[in-house]
Formats: sequence, structure tokens, C-alpha cells
Amino acid sequence: MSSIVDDTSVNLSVNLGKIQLKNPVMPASGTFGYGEEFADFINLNDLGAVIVKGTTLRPRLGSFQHRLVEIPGGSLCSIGIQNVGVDRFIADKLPYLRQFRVPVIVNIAGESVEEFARVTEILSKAEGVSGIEINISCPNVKKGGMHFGVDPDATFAVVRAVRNATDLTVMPKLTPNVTDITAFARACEEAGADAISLINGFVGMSIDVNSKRSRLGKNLTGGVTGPCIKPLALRLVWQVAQVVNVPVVGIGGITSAEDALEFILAGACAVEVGTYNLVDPWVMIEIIDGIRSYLMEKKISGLNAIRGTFEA
Amino acid sequence: MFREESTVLANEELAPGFWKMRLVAPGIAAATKPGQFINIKVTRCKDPLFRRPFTVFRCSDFGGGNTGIELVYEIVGRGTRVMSAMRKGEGLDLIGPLGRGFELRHDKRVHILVGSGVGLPALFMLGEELSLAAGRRELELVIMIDAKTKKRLILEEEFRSLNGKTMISIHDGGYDYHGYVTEMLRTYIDEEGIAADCAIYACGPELMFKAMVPICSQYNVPAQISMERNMGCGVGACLSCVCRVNKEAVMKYRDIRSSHVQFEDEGNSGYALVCRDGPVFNIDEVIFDE
Repeated sequence: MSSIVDDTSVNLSVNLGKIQLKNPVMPASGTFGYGEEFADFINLNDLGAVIVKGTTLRPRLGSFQHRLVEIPGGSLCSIGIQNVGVDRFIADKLPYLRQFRVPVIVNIAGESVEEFARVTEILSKAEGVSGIEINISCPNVKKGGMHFGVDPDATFAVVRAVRNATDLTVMPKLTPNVTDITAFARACEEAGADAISLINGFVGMSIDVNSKRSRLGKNLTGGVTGPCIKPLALRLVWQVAQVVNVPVVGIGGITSAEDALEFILAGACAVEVGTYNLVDPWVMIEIIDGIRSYLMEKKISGLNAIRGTFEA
Repeated sequence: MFREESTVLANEELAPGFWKMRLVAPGIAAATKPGQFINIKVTRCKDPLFRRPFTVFRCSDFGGGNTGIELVYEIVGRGTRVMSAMRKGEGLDLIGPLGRGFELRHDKRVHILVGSGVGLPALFMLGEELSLAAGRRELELVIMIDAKTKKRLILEEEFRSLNGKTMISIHDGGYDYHGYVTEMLRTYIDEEGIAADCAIYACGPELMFKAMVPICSQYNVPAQISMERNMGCGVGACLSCVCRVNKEAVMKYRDIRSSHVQFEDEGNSGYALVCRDGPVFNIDEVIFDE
């Protein structure tokens, strides 16, 4: 995939806590594996950062089979954070990523505050990890997961525990399945988060009218993601960007540079591309090129000049 | 795996609901092995959203300097309906070849293909390879085709053109065999006395595979089956297309370090990825009732 990423006439770099990203585009956790799966299609060095699959202290087998259903303009899925566990991540997956110059952010999940802190401590000692994205928003895990993301006190406790366990950049990922997301964003900032990413999937379901069963089998419900959630995500990112001072990372249905720019205009410092990576593994490169072209056409020197300039 | 921009050369209905599409795709045609699949973006409009996986039916030289692949598909949902409306000259974005296909059992003499409905096309490339070897008298090829009704019988002519014995079972009768292909398979293995010297390669609904399990274990016949799952990415990233597998069997057949199988901490099972570890599995690897 050819790219104009080396063009230096516009500055796409942004800071996320202690991490400097060369551009604001990253994969959303769980849609990019451990990076290696995409190596036939893109050069990982061209990305702002790589965010890897949700990682837990122990390996997890995840949800039952029949995990994905397509819905109009999106996806309903329940993976249940299947992952190899933090030790095997460090031993088997991280060495591959260390070959690149791209910052690596590890998405972590846990069933207790202590588990989040423990995973963070282990990752902090590993060479080649730049940041921690705290998954307090997984819609598909019974214990832990979203439980920590729908109670502001629990959110605060987890973020504080992770903050105390590391000097790395800490970025909680919020769930949209709450009444007032700004309360959760504020709790994260008070607990010491360096940045906040949002949103994870909306809880949804789909029923097969012939079998009268869930199309997700025994999983029953799943997370709704993809282009169909973009307007919902955009509005939530806009709300959060207005109430916190830390950088906000926008996630939700991004498939193009125009989508990404909408989030940036709404106040996002950077974006994560999720579901659409599964359709076009090279889409993030197209988005980076498209953002650069937009800035060049409008003769804007950098992203700082347009962030949050949406006129309400 | 790589991306290839292809062009539709032909798209025609074979039987009610079944279509055949020819795509100019020289790169993928040259790289695809029997049982592998490609992932097609059926629209640039983002709905239907995901690419659709199809096992390659045949790699062909279409003449006029065009080489590519043929797909045989059934209209089962929104994606295949969009595909059926495509006309000659339209562009299609492909990723492929993907997955792990069939492995020829060189140690066996009789090779039996068992295909039902839209699973049948997945066996044709292997059939072509086996047919060549059968022509050299290196092995025997037996093709068992299953269809619910005579109207739903597809690809009969293509399979009959191979150097093999073709047997057809129709659930409601009216052809060689009245009933299910699995009953025909059991009878054939039994009457021919070939249990010790045959291998089965199958593609069809999961119910057919389940019916094959007791036959394979009774006669101790190896079978490779091509599994189907809803897929997100097709490249092993999203972990959507998992299939429950038996640990002991998987360890027998695979180098676990280069596979994508993950086992539970305790117990004797785990999940394999249909897109990377499959779509072809050994029948004893798969656990059908989760």
C-alpha cells in the first residue's frame, strides 16, 4: 500500500500522555489482533500507535461460538475478550511488535481492581509497552468488563489503581451504556488518567424468528459496532471533550478520513478505527493520507488548529 | 494473502438460487490451493458491511488472456443477493487466498468426495487434482453428491467430467440413491470393503458432518471437512469464527505453536479459528455440540 506518510509539510503528530503519535490514527483493540495479522497489508510503522487485543492476567477462552452477526451498517458481536493472557502476550506477541518503531498500547481487562493493577505492573516491566488502555467497557464479559464502567466509583477505583501501578500513559476506554457519560469521564480524569478513549460497543441483540433464539447463540447479547454507531459515538465524544482537559480519543464506526475528521472537529485528539479494519485491513493508511490531504487542501499546518473547532 | 482488484467476467444462475461467477484475478488464481477461500467486498457502500468468504470453485484460463477464479454460491442473505445482481465488467475487491485447505492423503488408495448443496463447489479443485492422479492410475476417485431435491442438484456435469465414479443421492428420491449422502457413504464403504484404504473429504451442512462422525469412527476412516462460520476479517484478527475443537485430536494433527488454537486451562477442548486453522479440519478435531 503506497502512502504519503513521509510528507512533512503538515504536522499530524499528537500527544497522548507521554506518548507522541506521529499521526492520530490507531486500531481499536480487538480489531487488529497483535498487528502481525495485518503485516501483509500495511507497515505498522505508518500508524500513530498499535493497540492490541484486550489482555487479562490469565488466558481467556472468551464467548461461545457463533460470535458475530452482521446488522444493517454494522456488527453485533460477542468475543468475550478471548486472549492468551499477559504472560504469553509478553513472551509470544510483544517481540514481534518490538521490531517496529510504533508505540504499543495494551488494552487490559480484569475481574477485580487488583487484577487490573497486577496486569499493569507486569506490562510496565515489559520492554516495548508505551501505554495502557483500560477496558472498563466490554459489553460481553459477565464478571468485570462493563461492570467497572457503569458505576463512577468503580471506574475511579480501577483507574486510580492502574495509575498507581504505572508511569506509562493510562487511558480508560468508556462504555456508552450509561446515562451520563461525562460523569465517568470526570471520574477518570480525577483518578489520574492521561487520556480517555470512547466508545466501546452498545449492548444489543438479534433474534432469529424461525428458531426463536439469539443469532449469537448461547451468548444472547453482544456489542453493536461499525458505521451505524458513528453518530451516537460522535455526540458522546463531543460531550466528553467539553468537560475534561485530558486528550480524548474518539472511537465508533470510523471508516474514512472524513469520519475521523468529524471526531477531531468534535474535540478528539486522536481516533481509533475498529470494525472497518476487518473489512479493509489497509483502511487506516487511507485515513491518515486523507487527513493529511484535507489539511494540505485547507492550508492548515497541523491538527491542533482544527481540534474542537466544531461550531455549536 | 493479498488484495486483488478483479473484474466480473460472467455471473449466471445455475439452478434456482445457485449462481456461478467468473472473476478475472490472475494473482489469486495462481496462488489458491484446493479448499482455500477468498474474501469478497460485495459493495463499496459499507452495507452489507463485512466481506463475504467463498471457497474457490475452480481456477481457470478464460481465454483472451484472462485467468481467474470461478465461484459457485447460493443466495442466502444480503451479501449474496447483491452479488447475484452484478454484471460483466463490474469491479470486485478481493482478499485471498485465505485459510488452510485440504491435504491429500497420499497413503490411501480410494479418495471419496462428499458434498452437499452449496458445499459441493469447495471440493472441485481437490477433485481436479485427484482426477489427474486417477488418470495416471495412482488412486481411485469417488464423488458423492447430495441434494435435497433434484432441482437443487448443481455441478453434476462438472464432477462427472472428472476421472472418477460419481454417485448422486437425492433426499426425496428420483436419482441413483434415495436418501442422505451419509447413508450412501456407509453402504459404499461397507460393500466395497475399502475401510482400511480410503479417505474422505467433505463439505456441506454441519448436520451432514455430524452424521459422518459415527461412520468415520466405526470404519476408522480419516475425513477432512470444510467448516463454515460467520467471519469478520478472515485473517485471524477478530476471533469471531471460532469452532470448538478436541485438544487431543488437535495435538495429533497440528504444530500448536503455528496454529491459532487456544485451549481451556482445564479440560480437553478449546477454540480454533475457522479462517486460519481451517476452514478444513479433520473430523475428529471438531466438537459439534457445544
